[in-house]
Amino acid sequence: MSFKIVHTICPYCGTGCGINLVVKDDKVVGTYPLKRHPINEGKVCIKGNYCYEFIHREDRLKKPLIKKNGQFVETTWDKALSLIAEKLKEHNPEEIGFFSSARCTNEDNYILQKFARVILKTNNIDHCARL
Amino acid sequence: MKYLLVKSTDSEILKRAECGGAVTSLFKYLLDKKLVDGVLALKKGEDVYDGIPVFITSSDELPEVSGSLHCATINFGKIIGKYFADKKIAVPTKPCDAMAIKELAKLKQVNLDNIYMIGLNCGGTVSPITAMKMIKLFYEVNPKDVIKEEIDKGKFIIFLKDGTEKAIKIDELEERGFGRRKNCQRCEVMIPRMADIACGNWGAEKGWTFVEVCSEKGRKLIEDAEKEGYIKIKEPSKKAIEIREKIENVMIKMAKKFQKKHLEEEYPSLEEWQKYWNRCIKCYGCRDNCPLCFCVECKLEKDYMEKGKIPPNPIMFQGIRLSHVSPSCINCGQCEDACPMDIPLSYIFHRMQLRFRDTFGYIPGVDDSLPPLISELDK
Amino acid sequence: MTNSIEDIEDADCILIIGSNTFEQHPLIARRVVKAKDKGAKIIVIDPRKTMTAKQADLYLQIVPGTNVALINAMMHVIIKEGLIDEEFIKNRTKGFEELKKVVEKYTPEYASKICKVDKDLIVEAARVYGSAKRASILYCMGVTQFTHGVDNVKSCCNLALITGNIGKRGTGVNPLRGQNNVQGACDMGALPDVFPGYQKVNVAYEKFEEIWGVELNHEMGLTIPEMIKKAGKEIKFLYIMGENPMVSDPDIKHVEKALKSLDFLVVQDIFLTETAELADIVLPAACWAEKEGTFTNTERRVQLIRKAVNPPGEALEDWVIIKKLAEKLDYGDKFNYKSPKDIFEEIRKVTPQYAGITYERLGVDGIHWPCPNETHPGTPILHVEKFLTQDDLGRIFPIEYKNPAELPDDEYPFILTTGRIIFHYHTGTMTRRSKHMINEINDGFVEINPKDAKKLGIKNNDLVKVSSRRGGVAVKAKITENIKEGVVFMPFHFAETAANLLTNPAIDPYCKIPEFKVCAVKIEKL
Repeated sequence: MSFKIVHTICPYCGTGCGINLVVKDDKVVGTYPLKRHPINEGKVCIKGNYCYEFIHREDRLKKPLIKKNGQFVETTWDKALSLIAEKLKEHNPEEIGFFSSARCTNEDNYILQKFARVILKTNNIDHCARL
Repeated sequence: MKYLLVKSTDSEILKRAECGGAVTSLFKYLLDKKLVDGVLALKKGEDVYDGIPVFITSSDELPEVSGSLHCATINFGKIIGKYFADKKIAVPTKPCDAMAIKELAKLKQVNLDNIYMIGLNCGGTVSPITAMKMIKLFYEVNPKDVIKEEIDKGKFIIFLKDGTEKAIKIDELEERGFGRRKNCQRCEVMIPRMADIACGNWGAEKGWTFVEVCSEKGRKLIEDAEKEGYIKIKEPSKKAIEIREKIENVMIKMAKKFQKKHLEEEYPSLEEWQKYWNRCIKCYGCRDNCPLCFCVECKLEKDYMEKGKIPPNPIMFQGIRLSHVSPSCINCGQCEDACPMDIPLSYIFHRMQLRFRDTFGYIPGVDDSLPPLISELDK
Repeated sequence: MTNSIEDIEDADCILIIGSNTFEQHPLIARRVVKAKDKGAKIIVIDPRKTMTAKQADLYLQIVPGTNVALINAMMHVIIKEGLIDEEFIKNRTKGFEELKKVVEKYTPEYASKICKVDKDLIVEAARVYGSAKRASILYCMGVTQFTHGVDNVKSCCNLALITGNIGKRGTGVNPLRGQNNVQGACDMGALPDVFPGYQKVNVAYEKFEEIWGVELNHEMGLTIPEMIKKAGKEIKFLYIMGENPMVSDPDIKHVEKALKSLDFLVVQDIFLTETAELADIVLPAACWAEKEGTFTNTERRVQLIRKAVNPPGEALEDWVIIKKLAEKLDYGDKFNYKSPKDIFEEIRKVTPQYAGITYERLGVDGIHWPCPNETHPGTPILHVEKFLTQDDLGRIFPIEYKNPAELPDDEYPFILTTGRIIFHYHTGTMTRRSKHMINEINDGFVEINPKDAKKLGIKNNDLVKVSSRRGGVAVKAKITENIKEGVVFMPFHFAETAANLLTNPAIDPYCKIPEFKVCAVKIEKL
């Protein structure tokens, strides 16, 4: 059996509370107060308390999907990415847009805006700050 | 064989040991001889204020879990009940850990045959952020320069990375609203006699751990570990035993004083409680962190509680919790620590438990009997 | 936030406007509670008597969309009664005289008619805020989500500037960010007009051309509302990473039409969201517990997240997906990162505010940006000595009150305002898959004042139809005194009773934020 407690940050609002995830046999099975955290001192709201509950849901996306005749079918990463690359090449910079995410990390956001600007030469990139 | 002085035979352990290394050596013995699946203990995380529960399965990992962390305000009861109920483990227990585990065993949530409780005498813990604030404020040093802390002879002592140390009397810190957690201030169990053995430095000679043997399992553990060459033992002097008793008595007296202060003199009025309950955001933190809350189907999630509404009706929400938990409340303070609205929950639970104690004579975590029947209150 | 979460505790007065802090930012509300326990006065301005409003010493139940009139009136009183900080105005600001002229006509009586708040309450709020030694303003989407959202924010700043409530503990103008990394996404330049670190695309392009070694587009791009509007026309390909506009954006019917009219739609997410359903390709992403990286919270504190478990199946971290796609497009050399830390090292090279931050330094405490070098401790409080303007002075902008884009009329007589509840988050993709949250509440509702309900013959839990010019929703009525007469409230989390079928896509001309907080609706009993 493996057991570990991992310090991280709550996935929800912008307060940025620290939380501990309890990991047993490679599954997140609970949260535990991170009392050392300067913002929330181990205290959380209901969302933070149960933020682990969606992680291992059966309906998580596990494979790339491609729509064929209105239905999604599973595909490989290679095929999915090749098709996207092909379609991107078919469009002009001003025809392409990117929605980045306030739920993704700084690193994810940085790389997506760089991707849009460096490769596609477009500044059509935004995220849900206003929503 | 009730009181003993114990010393490790392992030079590596002795090098790191605070007082004889008995606790680490006993864990090493249990792990090496495969008498347990693992040891559940605390390791230093980010810094001295950050204690993280870890489960180690090899004695090679022991160095990372040795040493005390007074800012790790964790209770192992809940963790064992939730994640280790089917494992054979050894665990270092402060009194509130040991009391929680004992209470859970009576309620059939854990099996004591599977748990070696290596008790640690405890004078209280300090919440990590409180500790950092008070170190900045009163010790006038950067909390991040502290590499070790200790509570000894009524003082909170910090050791800095430049090799110096600073100490301030806990009394003084607590007068200014800092120091130990409030529940620790009220706690009158410093020696975890409900564990298998109780270890500490009170009354100990330098380089030795003072051990009180508290169970048959504890006696056998000590004897076997000595036979296998993991520890040396000798008898403490009569004076040593007296010193230890004296320290304990002084601390109990202090705790009683705090009980009077918190639970009578400063106890919130009804209006103040109303103000507190109006802040409740129904995070379930008090329930989820209470080592003694264990119902699989919790009444707080049932349909007769109005769902999706905050604040919840306090008579229902805290009322149900009080009736379920307060008779067994061991005053570990976890509910209050978890509360995002700083409601002084352990005041009400501890006070209620003391009332129960007056009426039924029941001391949770200490008595061997079951808590007095309380199911009537539910109806 | 100009200030840190922790220093809110030191305020003598906390003005909460357009924020239900107790439900949306509970661990910031905790600091409000601590300040209150130390004697601070709490003022709440909100059309709904929220849990936050119930903790207030002064509660002003305002008509949605009238913040500017109210704040102008507060400033009118503050100026008239000499509660301004003359020293601060003189030494640190510019524009006070113009402001003085504009707020002259905003007497409490005048504002009271617009805001439907008792004039004496306005005067009292002004006195409490104006006479506090340290006053903090907390605001949220109830200030920003208007066609005059920028005006609202400027008004809050004016109020803080003329009273000297900026640059010290317990003060400031503090927007509470609703998503864990909305601050970071902005900092990283996931915006159409700026590169990382708010460097304008039409100014800083040369710097970035040099760093990235490519030619760049100098022209400002389109915002999300603009891209949706132009979808199927100018915009033909959308790549959506971790967003769900089919629930979160205004006028969903229009959003759906827009997304369906694209040549190609890629959605990268952790679940098959309402938006992903419309995609041509869906890419499975790792969730936050399955990756390393940093989030930047509402007080500009950059914090580490740590990987706890592996992603399910073949799901990959978002950055890995983008890197692989870059390789497919023969740009592998520009995206040669082996870990999030590699990316962060580049971030700190190009983002001055992040220059001094390293993963090693972050630890569990994080660091507040700006942090210009590796020995800098970070900046919990902004504008302590000067403002970030060329002359170091804070700008006071006189603001006139303007009506929202769509006001109630005979056909649509109610104002609909939308928001969140404590038990759910945004479009519900995560929380509606969490057992404990859906056990509390899993259905939408519309809050109606008892007087309005009586007129409409609606009882609690009746099914009603709420309609606007853009669509209609059948939803359960919740009759409550907590909502102002003439106003109704719906949470936007629930796709089946989507509040955003009704909302108005009209946007603020400057920051392009949609007017979620006011649109006109009618209500019929079903």
